[in-house]
Amino acid sequence: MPKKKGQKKISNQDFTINDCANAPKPVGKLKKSVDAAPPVELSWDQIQDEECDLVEEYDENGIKSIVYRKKRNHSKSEGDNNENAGVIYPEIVWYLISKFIKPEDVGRFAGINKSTYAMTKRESFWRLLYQKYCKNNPNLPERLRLENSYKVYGLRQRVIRALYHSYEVFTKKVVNQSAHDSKPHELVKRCCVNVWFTKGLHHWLIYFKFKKLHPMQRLQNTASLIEELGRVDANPEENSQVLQVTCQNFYEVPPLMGMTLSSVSVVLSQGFRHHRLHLGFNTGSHNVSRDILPECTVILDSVINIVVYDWWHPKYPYFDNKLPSNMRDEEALPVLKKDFFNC
Amino acid sequence: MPNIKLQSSDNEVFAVDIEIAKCSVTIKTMLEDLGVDDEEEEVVPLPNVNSAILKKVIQWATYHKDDPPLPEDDENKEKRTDDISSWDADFLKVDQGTLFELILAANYLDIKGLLDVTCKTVANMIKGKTPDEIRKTFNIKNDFTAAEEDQVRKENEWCEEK
Repeated sequence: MPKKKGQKKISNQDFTINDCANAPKPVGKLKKSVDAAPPVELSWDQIQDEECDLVEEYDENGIKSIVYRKKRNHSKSEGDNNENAGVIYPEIVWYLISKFIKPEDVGRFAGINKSTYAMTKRESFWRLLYQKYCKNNPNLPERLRLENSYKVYGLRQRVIRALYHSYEVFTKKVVNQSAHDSKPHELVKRCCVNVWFTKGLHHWLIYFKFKKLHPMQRLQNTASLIEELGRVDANPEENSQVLQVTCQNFYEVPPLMGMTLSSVSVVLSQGFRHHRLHLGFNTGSHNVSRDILPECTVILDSVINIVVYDWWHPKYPYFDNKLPSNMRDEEALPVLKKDFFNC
Repeated sequence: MPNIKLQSSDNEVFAVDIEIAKCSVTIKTMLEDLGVDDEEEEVVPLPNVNSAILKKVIQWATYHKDDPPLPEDDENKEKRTDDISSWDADFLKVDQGTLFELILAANYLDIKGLLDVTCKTVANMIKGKTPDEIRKTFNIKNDFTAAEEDQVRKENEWCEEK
């Protein structure tokens, strides 16, 4: 049978950029076998959407047509990483080991598997950590003392905060943390939930509380009140951070609650002695982009210091915070003593 | 010296000095409750310990037979993990499966010294490693989904080294 003129050309046109991009292995040279089988065209009722892709094709006359083509099978490349083998040890082993886990190793222990994670959700685990590292420590604020407290709700959070007041590895970490370690830029895309001021002797402290909001979070909170009160790992301050800005002068800040921080910039202020902080805010997290101008901009001039506190930091503004003596800033006398957080 | 016979789960029998066997609170209590005399050569079945692990346990107990009794444990006190003797450290240079089985055996036989030292060894091996490295070291199955793993990591940011 004589070879039809242009047959090879048609076959080459079957090879689309999609074939290359979705190939499980890098495609070097087109194999002849690809040419051999022309696509089987199916009627509309035979086609299932999830099985097919829309593909542009050119016939021998160069006329473009769009056809449904069966998707390439990705199951092999996806299933190849079935390397999830390993041993499942009995929970009792993890329970016994958990008694020897130091506070700084809790994260890596919890991350091993579901059993170890479950251990870190137990009341006994946190009470033992408290008894070992925090009990009768004079640096502990009254609120974080658990000697006579049988409250389970939020126990984990209280013990972690207590550890940051009394466990040397953590207190050293806090003391060694310099102002330069704070990264206000990381607060971008977080929602501002509160703003307040305190006055020091020679300066003003302006606080912005930010929270990372998860869209699905509200839907998950369906537990009953009794269940909720028994939650060892409850933490209303989870995903919250407080930006503390120390300014020489007072700056009035417009209402920002519910707005999303979209931009942060720190530049030298006039005179080069202090800094100027620009905070851009937008409504809704979807409006955060470099191309979108902030709807509201807060400019704080003569900024002396900028610090971001996580919820576990001893200086994170909780009600009746008592700081360790080596970290107390005597000049910062609070003007507003109202507790904005523990509502 | 009076001996006692310990029978492993795979029916291997080990003749052990009764005083060495009594470092296991489980065996000690069993003998006391059953009223077994020192002269009788009773066979004590240990269905939860196989012969390989029982052999290791007897080896450990024989070496530590003259150790002074451990002080009454105050679980609430901070436990050091860096006080493992060199002999114990060498003794526990075993594969991860044996180490975990020794923990289970020490717990079942109620041998506090062995339980402490095996748990401390695992706790020390966890130090400084990522969860993935820990799983590889001990050949542990990762039963988290990627999203769960991410959530656990976020929940534990408070103890991350920054």
